[in-house]
Amino acid sequence: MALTAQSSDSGKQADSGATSGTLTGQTTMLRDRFAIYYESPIPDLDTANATAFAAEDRRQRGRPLFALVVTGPLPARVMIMKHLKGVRAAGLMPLMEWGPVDWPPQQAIRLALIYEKPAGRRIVRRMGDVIKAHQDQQFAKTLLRPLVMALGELHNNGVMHRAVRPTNLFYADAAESRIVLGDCATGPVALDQPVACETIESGMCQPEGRGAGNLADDFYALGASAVMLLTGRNPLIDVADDEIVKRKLTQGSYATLVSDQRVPLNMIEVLRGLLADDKEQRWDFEQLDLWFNGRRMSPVQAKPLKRAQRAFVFMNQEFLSPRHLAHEMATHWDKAAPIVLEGKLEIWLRRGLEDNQLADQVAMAIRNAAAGSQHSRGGINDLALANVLIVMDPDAPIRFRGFRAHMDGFGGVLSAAIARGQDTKPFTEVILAEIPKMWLGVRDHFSPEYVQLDGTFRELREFLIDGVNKGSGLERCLYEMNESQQCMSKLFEKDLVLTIRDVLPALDRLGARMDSKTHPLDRHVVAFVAARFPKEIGPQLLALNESDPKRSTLGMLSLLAVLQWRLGPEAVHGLCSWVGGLMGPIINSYQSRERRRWLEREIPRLVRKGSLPELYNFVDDAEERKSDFDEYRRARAEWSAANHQIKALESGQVGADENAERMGEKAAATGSVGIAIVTVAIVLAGYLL
Amino acid sequence: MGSGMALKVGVVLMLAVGLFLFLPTVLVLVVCMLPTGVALVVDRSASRSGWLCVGGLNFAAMAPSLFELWFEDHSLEFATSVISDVFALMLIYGAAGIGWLVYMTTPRIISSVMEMTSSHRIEKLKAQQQRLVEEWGPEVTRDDSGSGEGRGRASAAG
Repeated sequence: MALTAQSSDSGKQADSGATSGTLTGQTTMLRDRFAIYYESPIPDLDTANATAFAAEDRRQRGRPLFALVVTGPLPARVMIMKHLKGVRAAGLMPLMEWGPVDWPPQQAIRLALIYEKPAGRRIVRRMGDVIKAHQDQQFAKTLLRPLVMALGELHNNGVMHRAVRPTNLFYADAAESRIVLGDCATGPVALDQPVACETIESGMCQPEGRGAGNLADDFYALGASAVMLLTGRNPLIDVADDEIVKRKLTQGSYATLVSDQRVPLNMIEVLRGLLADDKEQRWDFEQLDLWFNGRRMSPVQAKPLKRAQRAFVFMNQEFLSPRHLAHEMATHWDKAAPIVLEGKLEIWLRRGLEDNQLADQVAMAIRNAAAGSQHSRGGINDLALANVLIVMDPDAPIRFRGFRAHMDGFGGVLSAAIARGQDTKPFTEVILAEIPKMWLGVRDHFSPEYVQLDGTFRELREFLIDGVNKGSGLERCLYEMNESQQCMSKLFEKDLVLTIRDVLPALDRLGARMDSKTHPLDRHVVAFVAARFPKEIGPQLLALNESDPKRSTLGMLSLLAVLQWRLGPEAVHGLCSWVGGLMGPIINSYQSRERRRWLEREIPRLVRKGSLPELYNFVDDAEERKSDFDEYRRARAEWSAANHQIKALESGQVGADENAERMGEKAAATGSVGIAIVTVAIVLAGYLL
Repeated sequence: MGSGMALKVGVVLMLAVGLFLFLPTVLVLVVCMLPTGVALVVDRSASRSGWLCVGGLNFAAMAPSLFELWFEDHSLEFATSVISDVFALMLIYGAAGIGWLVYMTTPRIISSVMEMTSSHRIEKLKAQQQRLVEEWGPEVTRDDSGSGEGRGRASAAG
């Protein structure tokens, strides 16, 4: 996915084109086609994580459009957008286009989605609003069926909507005869879903931890929404989320939602089918299609849970089923842990529920926690309770103190916690304590998905253990678990880095204005690259994490060079200039001062070419390194030899006087004797000759 | 013991005969080579070569008179005239004095020359070290053995 922010130069001035219609004002362009009027917000169409603005298709003027610009801190579901764009269904607000745009109000690049604007209003502004009940006989045909078809179509395209709720439904026409599903891509999956519209298991989760879900979850939400449309109000508006889950557990979802409300008789069957708490019993697309085509089936009856002969008393309440008890224990964590560890629960499971297998599993779960844990007493209690809750209710999310998430919802929890600056400790504790392994251990059937999950969580644990290094830690977990997560580096506060291909262009844009003290690869950028880059970059990460500045800088340059080599772009002048200013440690790693001066002269020339691989090859040339090393070694030997000679000469001077005296005396004696011999010879010659 | 004594007696007898036969030569030698004898006695240097230095020049100055005695008139009168010739004696003793002077000054001259040569060499080596430090940095002074002596030397060189 190549995302390139469209220039909004043309849009930053008053747009004459827009004045031809009703839209006027400053615009920014998406893919040179869709103009977003950023001074014309449409608050009615806002979502929790995005702001709505008037928009126009420059190729088909007059077409009613609006833009949702992701201005919130949470990640949008980028991965589903490309699929969503191609989906056309009567019950779905069509996504026309999406992509990054220059966003003048924040002087940043933001993600924008262009939707066809529904002609009608939002059905319900708030979940507590009361509207006119849709009691007409055509409800199923005109309102419900298009929504089912839309969800089915989305599912065929690999998309789960997970935002089916009355506040996200719009009348598609002014006559309010048709309903469409609103946006589901601008925020994390199912984050804004009310617990009333979520299944029991999903309702047990914290909103961020609900996970991707499946079509059955969408159909359940559709059933709950249908009840609210048929009755004209949310019957659970004044009920706390936890109480809703409890009621659903004890009475069943249908009974909880419908309660004493009047719903058309012909809708009871489909509502029971959609709101079935047992996934196996919940109606799927085929059953709904058959029902719409007139085939009537007997209403779904909830399967009775296994109940105990005598109740287990916890928090002054009596519980007959382990699932209800597990939920209550999770709600009152600190009170539950001692009871579980004292063995009362195990006894009740054996004698009250008469389920020895479950009792054995509970005992094993406690033993595992105590045996494998390096934690304090409190830590062992927490771990034991988390394990026991998994055993007692295998379909429930993983619960660990305040942490409650499905296996595929871990990423959402971490993403939201980091985006909001919240504590991430519960997340790390769950993974480090290997609670997901316990969850996988109690599955009653084999699935390749479980094997994959096991591997994933083992990797995540390793990343957390290796948390000090760049490319590991929480940041790596964040990007590994959230495919749609944009890079959350502080460097990219004003930018939008959604894919690995966006990294270098974004750094390049930053490069021109960055000083030579800021490192382009902070923990988030490295973790993002490590999680998204498909090739092996282990050696680069190792080098990057070295304490030696030279090796660390080489690792940084090497990683960036590999990215440019594999993914482009061809030239990154800004980034090259930025990185070029950080080459000090590499230059200084050469011993020769002359070579250093030469590198300093040559680097600007390479920076102007904008090629990181060339820069890397230049500063880490193997032959140059070898020459430098060899010459340095020779220089050291030379210095050492000179040193020894100096020492020898200096120590020689101490005895030089004695030596000179001895030599002088000998020389004088020799000379004197020589003169005597010569004189004798001359005189003798005078007499003899 | 008997043979030793006999040897000594023999030598003394030979010297006595020699003294009698070569009295003029002995007289000249004793008087003229007096500085050499003195040098032999007073020289306390390790090499004990002072008497050689003095003696060489002393003998060289005495040689013309000695050969004249030997080849022209080997008489006591001539020997007496030689040792009473003030100019000849001044020449002979002056030569011995020069010998002593040479003996005293030569070691210092040689010492100065040697010192001059090694200082120049040390300067050259230090300049070479300085060039190496400038090109390779202070690290080049790092001793493989790990002693910090080299670094101190580099600073000194710098």
